Parts: sequence; structure tokens; C-alpha cells
Amino acid sequence: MTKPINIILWIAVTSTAAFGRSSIFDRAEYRRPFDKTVTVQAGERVSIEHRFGDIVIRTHPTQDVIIHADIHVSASDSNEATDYAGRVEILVEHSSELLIRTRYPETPRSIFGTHNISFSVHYEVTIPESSPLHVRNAFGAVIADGVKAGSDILTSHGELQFHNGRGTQHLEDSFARVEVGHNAGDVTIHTTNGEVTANDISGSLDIQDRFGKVTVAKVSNRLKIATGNGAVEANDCGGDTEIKTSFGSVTVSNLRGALVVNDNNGKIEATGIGGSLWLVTSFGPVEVRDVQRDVHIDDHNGEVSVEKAGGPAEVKTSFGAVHVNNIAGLLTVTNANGAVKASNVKGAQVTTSFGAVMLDGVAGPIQVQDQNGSVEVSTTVRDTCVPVNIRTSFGPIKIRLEPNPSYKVAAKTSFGKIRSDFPLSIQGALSGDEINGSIGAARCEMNLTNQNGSIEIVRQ
Amino acid sequence: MKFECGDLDRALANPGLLPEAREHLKTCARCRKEYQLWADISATAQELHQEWQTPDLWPRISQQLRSEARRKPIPTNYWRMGIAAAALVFAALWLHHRTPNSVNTPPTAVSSPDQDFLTEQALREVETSEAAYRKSIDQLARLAEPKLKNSSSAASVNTQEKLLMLDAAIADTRNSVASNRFNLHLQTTLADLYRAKQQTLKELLTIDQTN
Repeated sequence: MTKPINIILWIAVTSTAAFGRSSIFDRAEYRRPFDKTVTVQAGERVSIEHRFGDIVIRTHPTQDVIIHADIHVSASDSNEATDYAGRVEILVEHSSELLIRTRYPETPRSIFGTHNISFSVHYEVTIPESSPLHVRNAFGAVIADGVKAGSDILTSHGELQFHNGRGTQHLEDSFARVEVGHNAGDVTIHTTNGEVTANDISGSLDIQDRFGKVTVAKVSNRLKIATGNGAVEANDCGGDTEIKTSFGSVTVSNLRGALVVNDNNGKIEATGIGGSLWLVTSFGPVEVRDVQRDVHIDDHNGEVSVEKAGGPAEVKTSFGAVHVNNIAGLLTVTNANGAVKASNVKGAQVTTSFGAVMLDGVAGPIQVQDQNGSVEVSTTVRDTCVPVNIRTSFGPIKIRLEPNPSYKVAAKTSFGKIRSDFPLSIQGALSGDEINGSIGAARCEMNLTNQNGSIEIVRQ
Repeated sequence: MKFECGDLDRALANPGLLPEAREHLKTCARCRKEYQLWADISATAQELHQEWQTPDLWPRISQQLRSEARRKPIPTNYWRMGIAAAALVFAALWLHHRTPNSVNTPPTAVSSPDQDFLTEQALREVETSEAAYRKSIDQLARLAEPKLKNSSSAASVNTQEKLLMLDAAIADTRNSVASNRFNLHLQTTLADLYRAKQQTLKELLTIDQTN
């Protein structure tokens, strides 16, 4: 059966929405300005403690603190609004620091027990640019521009914007976004459930967020981001970067320093890393491109892709495929149930259990330990050799060699054939499933061990 | 003509003005707040909408109207005029119920150009939709509760933490709203928190359904 109350409510709400949001019972509003100027000593701190309204802070070169407050009250009639606004206090106390506080009087209750007066105070304060700033606000934004002596700003349920500062800044917010643009000095940002955007910081940046997205660009020194659920984006930063998150994706590009990422369930993308790279995650895919130094990736269940590293690359995963290309060092892959595909590497050490292994263009030693997958390997070594050790159980082994190879070959399989494109000098008894012999001058060891698959040594 | 916040109501009723309104919303935080509240109320209204259990009722009415129309064609203008007359009556009632103090407002008690506060009617709408919103969230929370209790996964722990945090923030904000009910910023904050809680619960239920 239809619920009549809900339908009536629905009709009522949609009707009022459709007819616009104009009021049936208008209320009276009263606005009272407050203005005061106080001169402070050079370097003297300015503090503001406030609730229910925005605070806009600007700076100037003189020692005057110019306070303007807009006291705004809404009540059921104009007398009540005027009376309440007259009793809102802006307290300006000058001792070792200049303290500006808002004090709201108690609001009377109506005969229904509800409070019918509402209020807000918006501040515009101009402070000396050499004065350190301390702000505590709630349910209102804080917008600061040009603070040159460090600040400590805390607000909640209101946006926090900080621009064109100098010195050490500590910014805290909850349930609203934090935006920082251009500061010459270190910045710390703590927030719980708000988005953070920080841009152009000549110093280090430390961000702790819990559930918000973090976007950072142009941080000259160390960057540290710890967040729980939010996505992280960092671009064009100069120092070492450390990012910790649990459920958010991480996208990083153009870092001059090293990168350390500790994620749990998010996708990680890193491009253009000037230093070393360490990534740890559990369930997210990893995509890495263009790392100048060594790469270390520890993923449990995600697919890993690495394109171009200037040093060795080490990849661990359990259930994801691994794709690697252009590594100027040894590639080490430890996988369990995923395929491994690599090309243009200086050497390869691969361990997996249930996936195929394809290594193309390996210019160094090759060691593959597989169980239930095929193994296909090609070397780029010409007129010489590198040690090769390949073992699998239930798939074919194929190795492609450049001309004039030089190997001492030990190949063995139980249920397959052994074939070689190169002339093999056999030593010992001839057998279809086990060969010990040499190719060329036999300078390097080549051990190929299989159980239920063929073994082929072929020309490139 | 320069678009101002006062034009928002007109734009919502007139699709032709919507592009201009959207452009204005991009740069005007005050209008965005106003628009967000309007959107919340509309969203709540849609959620409260229930289908009739007799699904063939409307087709039957429609069929009957069509056959009536075939028998005796009514000029379209008549029903348009009927709606216009009803709107006129509604407008007259609306004007009749305006309180006198708003008419006799002294010059010092200006009507706010900044819209820091809700009107009486807007507050009633917000409080009504808040109650309905809270009820629907409570129902979602009841649905999600066994799944939260029985799961010890990292995602579940994380969701519990977020819900606790949101509940604390909702309690804090409601406390502030109680003594400052017409404050637009507080009401918007509260609506945002409810929306975040509803979204968190929906995500939890969706994740569990897909797993």
C-alpha cells in the first residue's frame, strides 16, 4: 500500500521546490560593522579565535592591525535582531600578543523551545606582514594572503586557503578543503575529511589527511603525504617523496628525488622519477615509467608494469602479471601465479609457479625457475655467452641465441624432445630426453631442466 | 544582463537561463551554497517518491483521458489557463501569509544581500528534508550494521572509522545548528555531512553486494 504521509511530504517538498525558495514568513536581518585599528610591535603575534563566520586575512608593511568585522544577525523581528547584534562582542586584547575574539551572547528560546536568532560574523583583518599569525575558527572559512612570518591556522567545517606566504606554516582543517599556493618555507597540513591542494612550496611539505584527495605540485624539498582513503597526485617536485595511503590511487610524475609509496588497495602510477623508486601495495595495479635509478616493487595481487629504469629492477607479486621493458640493470621477478614478460634487460632472475615466462633481449645472465608455465628466452649476447639456468615442469622451454654462442649445455626432460639449431658436441650416452654437450667453445653454463615439455635451442 | 544570486530561483524554473546560472555558480560560492541546498531538497523529494502499488492505475487514467479527449476535444489553452489560475491562487495565498514585520523592516535591518541565513520557509523545508534524510540514513545504517559487525576486513574497519568520524561531526554540527538554526553555512555543513554518511553507507553496501 502507498504510504500517504510520505507522498504528502513528497508533494509538499517538490511543490515548494518547484515554486522557488522564497519565504512565506520573512525574517528581519541586521548588520553591524565593527572597526578598530591597533598598532603592534615588530614580530608580535596576532591571534584570532572565532566561530560561525569567515576570516579573511591580508598583510601590509606597516605595524597596524586593521580589524573589520561584519556582525550579521537574523531574527523574527528587527528589534530582536538589532538588540542581539548589539550584544555580540568583538574583544581585542593587547598584551604579549594581540588577541581578537568573538563572544556571542546566549540566544533566547522561543515558546516552542527553539532558538529563533541566528548569527554570523565575518572578519577582514589586515596584519603586519612580519607578524606571526595564530587562528582558531570553526564553521567558517579562513583565507590568508601574504603572511610572511609563519602561521598556525586551525579551522573546521570551512575552507582554508593560504597564499603567498613566507616562513613555516601549520594548517589544520576538518571536513573542508585546504588550498595552499606559493609559500617560501616549510608547510604542514593536517586534515581529516577534506581535499588538499598545495602548489609552489619552496620548502618541505608534510600532509596528513584521512579521507580526502591530495593534489600537490612544485614542492622544492622533501614531500611527505600520509592519507587513508584519498587519491594522491604529486607532480613536478624536487626532493625525496614519501606517500602512504590505504585505499586511494597514487599518481606521481616528474620528481627529481626518490619516491617511496606504501599503498594497500590503490592503483599506483609513477612517471619520470629522478631517484630510486620503492613501491609497496597489496591489491592495486602498478605502472611505472622512466625511473632514473633502481626500482623496487612489492605488490601482492596486482599487475605490475615497468617501462624504462636506469638501474636494477626488483618486482615481487603473487597473482598479477609482470610486464617490464628497458631496464639498465638486472631484473629480478618473484611471482607466484602470474605471467612474466620482459624485454631489453641487462640480466634476468625470474621465479614463478603458474605463469608463462617470456624474456626478450636479455643482455646478461638468465635464471628462470618456473613450475607450470612455458619459458621462452632470447639473449642479445653475440660472439660470447652469459650463464643460463632455466627450470620448469609442465611447459616447453625455448631459448633463442645470437650467432656464435659458446655454451656447455645440460638439457634434461622426461616427456618431451630436445632440439638445437646449433651444432652440439655430445658427451656421454645419447638419449632423447637428456643431453650433455657443448655449443661453440663452451665458455658458459646452460642448464635447461624440464619434466613434461620440450626443450629447444634456436637461432634468433 | 549580469546574473545575480537573486536570479537563481528564476533560472531553476527557466531552462533557458540555466547555462548562465551554471557559469555564475562556478565563480560564486554563495550561490553554490544556495543551489546545493535546493539540490538536496530536490534529491530528498525524489527519494521520498514512492510508486503506487497499482501500476496499471496511471495507464488506465491515461487511457481514459485519451478516450475522453477523442470524444470531446478540449483546447490545450484551457488546461494551461487552469494551471495559471491555480498558480495565481497559490501566489495569492503566499502573499497573504507574509508576516507584517518583513514589510515594515526599518532601513537598518536590511535584507541580506549575502544570504548568510535561511528564510523561515527555507528552514522548514530544510528541517523537513533533514528529518527524512536522517530516517533514510538510519535505515541504510541498519542494513549495513550486520555487515560491518561481521567483517573484520581493512575496508570494513576503515568504513567504521569513517562513520564514527562522521557521526561525531554530525553531532557537533547539530549541536551548533540548534542554537543557530537559520545559519546557512551550518545547515549546508550538516547537509554535506549527511550526504557523506549516506554515500559511505551506500558504498559499503555496494561493495558487499559485488563481493
